[in-house]
Amino acid sequence: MECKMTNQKIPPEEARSALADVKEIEDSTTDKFKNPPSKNAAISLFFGLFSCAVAFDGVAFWNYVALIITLFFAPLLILGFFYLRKLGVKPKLIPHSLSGKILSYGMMVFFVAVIFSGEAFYVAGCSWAPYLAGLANAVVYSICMWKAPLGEWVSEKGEV
Amino acid sequence: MSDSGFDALIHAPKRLQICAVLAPLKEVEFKLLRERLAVSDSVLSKQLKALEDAGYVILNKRTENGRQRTWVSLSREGRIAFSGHVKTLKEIIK
Repeated sequence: MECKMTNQKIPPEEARSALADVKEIEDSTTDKFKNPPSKNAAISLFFGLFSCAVAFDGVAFWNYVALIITLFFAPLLILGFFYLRKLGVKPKLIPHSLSGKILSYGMMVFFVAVIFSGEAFYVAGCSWAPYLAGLANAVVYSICMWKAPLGEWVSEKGEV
Repeated sequence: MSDSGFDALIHAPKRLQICAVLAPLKEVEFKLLRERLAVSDSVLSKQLKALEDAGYVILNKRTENGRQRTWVSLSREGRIAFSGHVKTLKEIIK
């Protein structure tokens, strides 16, 4: 393996320009795979409904809702994966960068915590808690899908 | 300021862009990479060959649905070299 490490120094302007190029192409690549707002809204709505249904602990109707959404979503996720593959890209489930990992694991912990909190408050007597949990998860999921469709947060264009 | 992460091979504009496209993804098809970079097949092949010789990218040719597709991914060494290079560039502009 040939590694070309050097101690070469480059002017700050060149470094700034190279970083701007990197950021621009990273962001435009991420933007290319961003869902349109309508699809983003639909997926977030279903995820919010799923969160709400799970938080309604032991209510038969909401158990059916959770089951139906799961059965509906599993094929959609598989189809989405094959669609991206057809476009010529295989996304990573867990990003390699530390910030991407923190974001992914942080999101998972947040969603689970919100669902369990909603369930706990519902059991304690707050009947509105599952709705709030569903709304919170739908909003956060929507923002994450918009700003980090490939698991890496997209900043403003050219920002280093 | 440390220059240990500066990599002259990656610093070439097109190679830097190739690494930037590959970094957030598991694998990218050659055709899509060519479109993202707006370069010809021969230019992309030449740049990929240089990165492959350095052990920074992995090229996988697979036949899918009767059609041969070339998938490109960053190797572990490539990811380390790219992130080290970007880190060094950030240190230079501080």
